[in-house]
Amino acid sequence: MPNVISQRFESFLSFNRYRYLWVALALMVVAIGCYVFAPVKTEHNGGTWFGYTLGVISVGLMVWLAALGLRKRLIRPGKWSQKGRTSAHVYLGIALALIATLHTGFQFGWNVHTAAFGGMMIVIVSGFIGVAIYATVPSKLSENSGSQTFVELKSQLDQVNLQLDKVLFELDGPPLKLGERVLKTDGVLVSQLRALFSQVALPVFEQFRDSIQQARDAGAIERDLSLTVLRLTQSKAALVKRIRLHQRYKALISIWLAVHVPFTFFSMLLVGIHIFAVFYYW
Amino acid sequence: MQIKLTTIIYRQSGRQTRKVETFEGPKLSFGRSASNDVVLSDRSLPVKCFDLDIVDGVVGLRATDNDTKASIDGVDLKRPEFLSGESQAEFKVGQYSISLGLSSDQDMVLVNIDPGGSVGYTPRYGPGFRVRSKFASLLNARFLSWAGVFALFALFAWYPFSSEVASTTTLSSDVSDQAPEVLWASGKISSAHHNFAESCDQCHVEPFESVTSETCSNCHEALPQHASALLLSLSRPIPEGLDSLEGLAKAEFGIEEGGCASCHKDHNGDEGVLSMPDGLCQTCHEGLDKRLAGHMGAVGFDDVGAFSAHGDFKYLSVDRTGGEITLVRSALSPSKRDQSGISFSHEQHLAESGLVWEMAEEQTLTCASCHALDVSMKNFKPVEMETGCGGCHDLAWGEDDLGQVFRLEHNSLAEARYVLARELSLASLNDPGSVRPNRADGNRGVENLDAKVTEILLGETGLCLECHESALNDDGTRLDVVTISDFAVHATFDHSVHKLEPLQCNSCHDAKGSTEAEDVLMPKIEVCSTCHADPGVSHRIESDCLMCHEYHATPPVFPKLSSGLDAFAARLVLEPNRGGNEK
Repeated sequence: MPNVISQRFESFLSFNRYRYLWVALALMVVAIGCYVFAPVKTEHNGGTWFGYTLGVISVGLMVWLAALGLRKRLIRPGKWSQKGRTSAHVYLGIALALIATLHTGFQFGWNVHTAAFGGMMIVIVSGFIGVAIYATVPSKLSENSGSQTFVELKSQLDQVNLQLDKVLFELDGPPLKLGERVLKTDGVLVSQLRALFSQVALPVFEQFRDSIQQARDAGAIERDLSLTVLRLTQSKAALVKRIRLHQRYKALISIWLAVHVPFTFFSMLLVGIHIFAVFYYW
Repeated sequence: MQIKLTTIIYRQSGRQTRKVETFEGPKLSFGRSASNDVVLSDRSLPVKCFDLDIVDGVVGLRATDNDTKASIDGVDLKRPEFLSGESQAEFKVGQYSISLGLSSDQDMVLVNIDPGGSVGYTPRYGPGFRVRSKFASLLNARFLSWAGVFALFALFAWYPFSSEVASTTTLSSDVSDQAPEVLWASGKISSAHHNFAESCDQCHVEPFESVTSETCSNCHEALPQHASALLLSLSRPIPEGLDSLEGLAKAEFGIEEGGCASCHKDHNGDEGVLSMPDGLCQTCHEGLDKRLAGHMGAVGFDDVGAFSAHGDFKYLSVDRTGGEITLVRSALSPSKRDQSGISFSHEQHLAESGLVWEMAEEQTLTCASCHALDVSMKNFKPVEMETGCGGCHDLAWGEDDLGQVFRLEHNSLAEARYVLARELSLASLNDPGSVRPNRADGNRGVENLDAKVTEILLGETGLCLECHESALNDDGTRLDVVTISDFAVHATFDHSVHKLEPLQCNSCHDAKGSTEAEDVLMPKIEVCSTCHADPGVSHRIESDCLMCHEYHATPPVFPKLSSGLDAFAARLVLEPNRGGNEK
């Protein structure tokens, strides 16, 4: 009998029976409790002993959360779980939002201190969006591209384009004009932006198909040629759709990373300046 | 008739070759499409361009369809007979140069085609598809991180710091709220310190060192001390638990304990400089009586933690028990009397009929008839004899035959005696019968002058005893009246902000029911608590310690008043003496 190892799939969100969710909740409850009951003589703000305590905890959490990027690059033997670390990253990130807010004492202004807080909150809020993206997009991405890689899809599109371009020598009038548009439908910079916001299927393909059929009916082009053109158009339409979906999913992840990662560094820089400024004008 | 087609082919090596094909007539089609006999690989040309036609031995060109232009390079495509009388023709179609001619034996049409260069299919949309697009490289997290970090560092670190260094040398008079230091300030600076907004180092003298009281006192000179340093240190509770940790941390970071900054915080925007929130008063005042027991006699130190825990108000009053005049500060009680030495009744003066009413030309006096606010509009001026009482109590002691009334100035008794004796002597010298003292017997002249003066001033119906109680000193020369103009020496009260309907004077001071001058007409704390309450109580005015008490106030000094102390001297000492001479 083969030795079957049963391994239940567990999301990073539910890692170890939501261990880090409970840790984060406990941390938040303690923080709120202390905020309400701490014997602070003046109003709450970052400058009381309690405020400094929350500040130290916050900056420690920030550095630890940001170190996820280092952790995943330092693959070493030993007992550690990237999934566990990611789980902790998500839940303690939520706790950080609360602890840092309590650290501010709800005093905000147009200054480096609030900028540091704002940068950190952008990272955390984008983190929520990131959890949603990473929970859905990767499966859609692999579903869309099937067994093919993006390079293979692109290579197929190049082939279709080459054939379509040659076929255009045989066309004239409106079919040629529409054909030129169909041929051009894949510019990457534009398509990636468009793919984010617009439909993946484009009406020009339909128009081109119709015009070919009309031309064939009118006897302007031969049946064989029309079949070739229609086959190429159909192939291209399918490829463009898949590539655009691929681009859309990749762009979502890229944009998310382009917010979450840089703002992590921004907020760490601003927190650094914030701490320096506080002690400089002590 | 045959057609011989000669095409020049430009090789990539630069060499030219010729390709010769022979077609059987009578027709040869030209165009872009591969379905033509002659393919013209020029995207600018139509799919089908034109036909070369041979009809009955006549060679001509014919447009294939209406899309083709009627003429090509001057050759009319609608006239197919151009070679009937001519031996050859040349024209250009797109990039192609085409020449037509007849062979020497006239039985073959010669067609030469020169494409003018390399032709053939060149893919326009081939493998130019980049895997990594420009868009993706713009989204590169590392690039964005570096760019943003540089930008934010420049804005939040380099800019404020460089301008901070610059501002130490020039203090701009035009201070804007957008000064670069604002980016580093924890909040907007108060309007009082607004002039320093651009030069942080005025207060933050040394980097990484907290603001010291010494720096504050450069401007805020000679502020009255709340209490002596010894008393303050005894009042502060010994820190325990977290407080002791806080104390240790403060010592470690060089933060002054008990300095200006422990109560005053700037950078609070429009709220201004925060002054001693309640909690800080309570630090010492909660349990103060217990901590000071045995040290200062603990007299007068209450255990006050909040407005609701505030005990009865204590007011000053004059006590003459046992012939000694002393000032007593105690809570209101039926036995508490203010023995000022004045014979007076508020009830009588506010009555709507009677002697006072008659003297005031049958008008009822009001509080404002005698009491007036001082320049601060917060407190009432002391009632002066001349302006307050003198309107009715005019110290008239006699009149002459002509009806002229003789009055005394309100001065010391000795002075009054002197003036009166002199006036009586002078009158008797000039005309012994002219002046009639109205408060002595009719005996005119200077006999028994001293007794007469005494009778006028201090007799049973004497001038002075209208208001002064008969409290004579042994030597009979002084009338010791001690009035208190500030009953609550540890508190401030602003009458102007209490001028609100339906509040009237008698809402707090029951003057109409006061039959004796010794009544203390100050309100109990219950009167205040109809409107005032601890912070957080709804529908009441949030009242913290500083609403009524000042921290920087000189503790009042109660003089030991002995019998016979000069009334005016006593009154001077008891003028309100609060608030610092802050510059």
